[in-house]
Amino acid sequence: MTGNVDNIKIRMYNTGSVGDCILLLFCKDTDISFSMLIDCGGIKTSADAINPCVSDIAATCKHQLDLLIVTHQHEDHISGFNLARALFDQITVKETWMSWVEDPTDPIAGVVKDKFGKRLRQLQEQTERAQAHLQRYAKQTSDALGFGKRYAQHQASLDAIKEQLEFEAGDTASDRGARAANGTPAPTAKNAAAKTARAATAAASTVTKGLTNNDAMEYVRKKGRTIAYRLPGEVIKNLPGAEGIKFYILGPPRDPDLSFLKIEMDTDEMYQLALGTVPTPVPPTQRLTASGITLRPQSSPFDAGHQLSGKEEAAFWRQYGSDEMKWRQIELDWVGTGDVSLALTRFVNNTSLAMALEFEDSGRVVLLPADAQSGNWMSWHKPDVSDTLKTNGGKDTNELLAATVFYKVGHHGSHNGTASHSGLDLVTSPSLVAFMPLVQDKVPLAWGGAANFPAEQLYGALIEKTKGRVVRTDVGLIDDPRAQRLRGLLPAADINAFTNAFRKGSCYVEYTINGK
Amino acid sequence: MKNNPPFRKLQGFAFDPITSLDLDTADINRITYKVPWEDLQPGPEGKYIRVIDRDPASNAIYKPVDLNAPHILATDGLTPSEANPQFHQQMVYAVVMTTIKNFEKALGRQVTWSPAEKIVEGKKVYEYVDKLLVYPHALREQNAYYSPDRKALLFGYYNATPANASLCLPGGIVYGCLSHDIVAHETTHALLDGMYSRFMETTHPDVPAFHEGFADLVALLQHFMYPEIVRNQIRKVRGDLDSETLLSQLAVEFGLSTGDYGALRSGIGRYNGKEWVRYAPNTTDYDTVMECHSRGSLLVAAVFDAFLAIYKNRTADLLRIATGGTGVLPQGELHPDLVNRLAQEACKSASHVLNMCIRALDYCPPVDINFGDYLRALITADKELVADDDQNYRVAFINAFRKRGIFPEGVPNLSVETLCYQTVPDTAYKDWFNEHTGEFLREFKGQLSYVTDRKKIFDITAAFIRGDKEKNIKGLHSYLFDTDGRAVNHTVMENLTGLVFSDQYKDLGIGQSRTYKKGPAIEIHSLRIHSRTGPDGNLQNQIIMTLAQRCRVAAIKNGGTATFAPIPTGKKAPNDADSFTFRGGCTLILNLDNLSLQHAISKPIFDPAALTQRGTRKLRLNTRRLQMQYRCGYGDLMDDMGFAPNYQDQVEPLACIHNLKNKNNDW
Repeated sequence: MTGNVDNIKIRMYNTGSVGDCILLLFCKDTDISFSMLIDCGGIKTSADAINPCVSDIAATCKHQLDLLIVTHQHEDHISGFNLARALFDQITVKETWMSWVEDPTDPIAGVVKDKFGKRLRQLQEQTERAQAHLQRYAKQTSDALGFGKRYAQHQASLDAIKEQLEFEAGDTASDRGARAANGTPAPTAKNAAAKTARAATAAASTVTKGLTNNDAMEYVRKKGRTIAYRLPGEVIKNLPGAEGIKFYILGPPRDPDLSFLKIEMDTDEMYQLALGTVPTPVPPTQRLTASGITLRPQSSPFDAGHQLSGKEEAAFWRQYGSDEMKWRQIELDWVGTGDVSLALTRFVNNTSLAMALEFEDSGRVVLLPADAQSGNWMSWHKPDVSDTLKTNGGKDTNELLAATVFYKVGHHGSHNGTASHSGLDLVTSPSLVAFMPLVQDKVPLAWGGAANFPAEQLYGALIEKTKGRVVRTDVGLIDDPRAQRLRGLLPAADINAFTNAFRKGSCYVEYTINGK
Repeated sequence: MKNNPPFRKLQGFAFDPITSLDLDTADINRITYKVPWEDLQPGPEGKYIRVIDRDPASNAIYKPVDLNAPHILATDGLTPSEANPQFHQQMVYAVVMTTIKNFEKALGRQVTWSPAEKIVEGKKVYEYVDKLLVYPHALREQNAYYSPDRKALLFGYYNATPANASLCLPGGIVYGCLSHDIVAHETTHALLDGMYSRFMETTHPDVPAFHEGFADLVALLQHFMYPEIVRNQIRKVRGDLDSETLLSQLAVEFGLSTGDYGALRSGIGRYNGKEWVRYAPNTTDYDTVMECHSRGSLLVAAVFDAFLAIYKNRTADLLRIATGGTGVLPQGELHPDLVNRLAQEACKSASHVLNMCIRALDYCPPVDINFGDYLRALITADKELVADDDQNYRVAFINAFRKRGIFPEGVPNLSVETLCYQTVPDTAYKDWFNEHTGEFLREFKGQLSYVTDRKKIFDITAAFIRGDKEKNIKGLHSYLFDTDGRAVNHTVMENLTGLVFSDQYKDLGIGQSRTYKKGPAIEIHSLRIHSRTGPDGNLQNQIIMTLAQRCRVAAIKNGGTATFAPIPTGKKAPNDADSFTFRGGCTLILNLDNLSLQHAISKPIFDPAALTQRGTRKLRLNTRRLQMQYRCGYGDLMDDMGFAPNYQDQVEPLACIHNLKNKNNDW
């Protein structure tokens, strides 16, 4: 087959829960010339739910994918590679892409992993210290009033954090089994560190069939005949079968100091608060002065001279530490690092491989940001990304956003998964269509539950921008009254074009983007 | 006898440290708290509270301040400073004591903390708690709470994360214990819990909202205790307290340092991101706002509106005098004398309103309070003390509540007369509250007459409730049950209190009395003496008694609602059902002078409306109240209210609902 790709069919699968599983079929006339899969997973989903999707993928691509992309290491994007492993085993993959963060030989990835590892270690140490503190405390104390309940609660929350941290550290299931069998203790901070250096950043999630996120990543890594780790600023063209399509790599931001990766929700970029804020904040890295004192663990904000010591301190403990006082002590209230480990998870979202595809013939753009959060979006506008795209023979970030006709909504429609000023605000195409990978009633409580998805402000903005052409995994074309009203106002030709391009399959929704 | 000074003067921040950084307010932010004199130990530790400065996150203990040290006495306490933890202790002491004293002034008696629940030899006992513990540096988070478990206030400190650097220093350390509003708010939680421990239970969206709203209210109205601040702010807004002032804002520093553009909460308006806007009351608010802080803000806004109406009413003549009769103020600054007089009126109105609000607590039902009950309590309490409402305070309150759609249940129309709880006709209670019972209660009052020690008051009260053989006190329970162990006059008592006294208690899942084996368990929560003198010199000589009763109920889900069945003692709930404790309660206000029962303010455990008058008196559980409790704990309101189900079972109930701004930027 010669000539350029005529159209791209995008299938967004319903994996039974919140998650991404997106198949792109590049067609010349009616023949599929190139097939590509981005992610396959769902939060706490099952093999029963995901197998039909993978079977459909296998049948559609005739057991051969030209390109497999895994955007980042979170359960909702990769659990399918564990759950439907048998089906994936029957699919061959020509090439695999991951982000540069996953590249074991990349020096900056090493730095990022190292920093991430350090933070993880710090948290693990903090948790272990807190736990030791808790145990010491429990030993000293009798079943003083109210204490048992408090102890149990703290213990439970620490256990949960610990488990979450273990997953972030990429502990494999076999490791756990061996440990339990030998009765050896959990990895200490030191060997956990060694592990993090090797292993990638995993998500807080449940083990699926004894396989961890890390196993899924390793499986994908070996799946393709070749593997490429993509850098922001790259423009890839003329892939065999995908002639006429340019692949743009936008993120994750390649900054060794984590300045952009760390930004999980920039208030100015959030649809939730976008109405209330006007000035553009200066990123921390560009500030001239760093002010303020950061509280360090075990160090007091006051001068040492203010503290009790020696005899006075001993006298204090005789009173405060006495049995009669036990039930009124506050030794445990500060213990608890739950939100910090959540921040860790969001950090991993920011390591998403964010991409755009462009039809050379018409300049139309498909935007695929995976789970990028504010910092990732903002970094696309850095000169070393935007200008590099241009030098590499493509459009710059602003031009890409302006020409976007199809948007895979970032992070399942969360309030910080679509940036405003550096994202959706710059999308100006009148024929924009948005696909949101969301199964609302499966949104985990840790994310705020169904009530927070899709984020109301963002939903409104999307409906407005697309004139009602928003499609969700769970409901298909949305029947929100605002969307219905706006669709009703579209010219007949536009609404016909949309109706012809949109299709609802057994386990997916599909849209055909015309490239000519 | 030592001749102690009447006050101890202590310097402190009027609002919080950040207010000192604004040129307009720098002068007034440092005020001198005048706390009634008491003997103090280093800590400070006095009669009511003990400040313990343990900072477990830093593994440090800060030296306790000795407010009796000559160099501190001579300078009215330590100079305000964020860097000196001893000043933090002083500030927290000053504000907690100020709040306590405001309660005592309004209630006309000493306050007590809620007793500690302990299990001794398998029995639940309630132990007296002498001192509230105050920990100024207990946590490292954007939080502060009252711990009902430990009878302690815990304050946090944290790195500021403002929306931009012009608002406050990014990364700077903010201390919750240095904010007047936060300290007063938490203290009020503790004081309220000392009166009604069941207000910690989520039986209605209004209950937690009342806790929050009332605590905000006290903090707000306390701003008006300092004339120099009121003068400054009145000058700034030219007498118009309807506009944005520091007086109507709560926890400014907390708001700014956690990413807001204004105060954490406000009585009358807030920033919408661009400008300050006055809240517009809406009659649908009460039906739609469920999150407990926002709902609490409705109460705050209603009371604050009433206060403003009173202030305007009181100052209308002043404005006319100052403007030659037009009432229209000229451009420019106001005359200092006028500012002074306006400030006086504002302070006086606020003090009246604060007194009314606290006094009304005595007229609340002991369980399941809602805003309508509180409005009725406000009106009744005030009417009883102040017969002649010449300044129309009560009308101002009714109006402000009405504008927000807050209507008490079961009143035919809104007027002072209908909202005021009706006097109970003597035929309804004479069988029980008569010379016999009256004598017992008079004896109780007599014994308490010259007792000032709070522990002794607690012990005497406990003896009169439970009985004490050694002291030859029979105990109030013996006036409810006969020698057989059966409740006396059960129909009378049931009609009065809404609690079950007859044998039907077994069918309703109510437990048996431990002492009177043939009657139902009735809890007497409190017995309080209430003697107050009104502005007309009228003396009130009352006893307030709160009774409560509980039962176990199983809820069987039925679509969006549920049907309820009592769980008999010793039986288990069906497997597929949610089970919970359901309570009824009643506050009885007894007049000791003429032995009359003035009011019975009841939250019935059974449904009085469903009582068939014909022959059989078959009691049924109060489905209306049950349904609401179910919706809050398990049903559609659960998420809206903003905290986990069964929040009363949470280890720190107030911590989880206070922790509303817990973003983490510690990366």
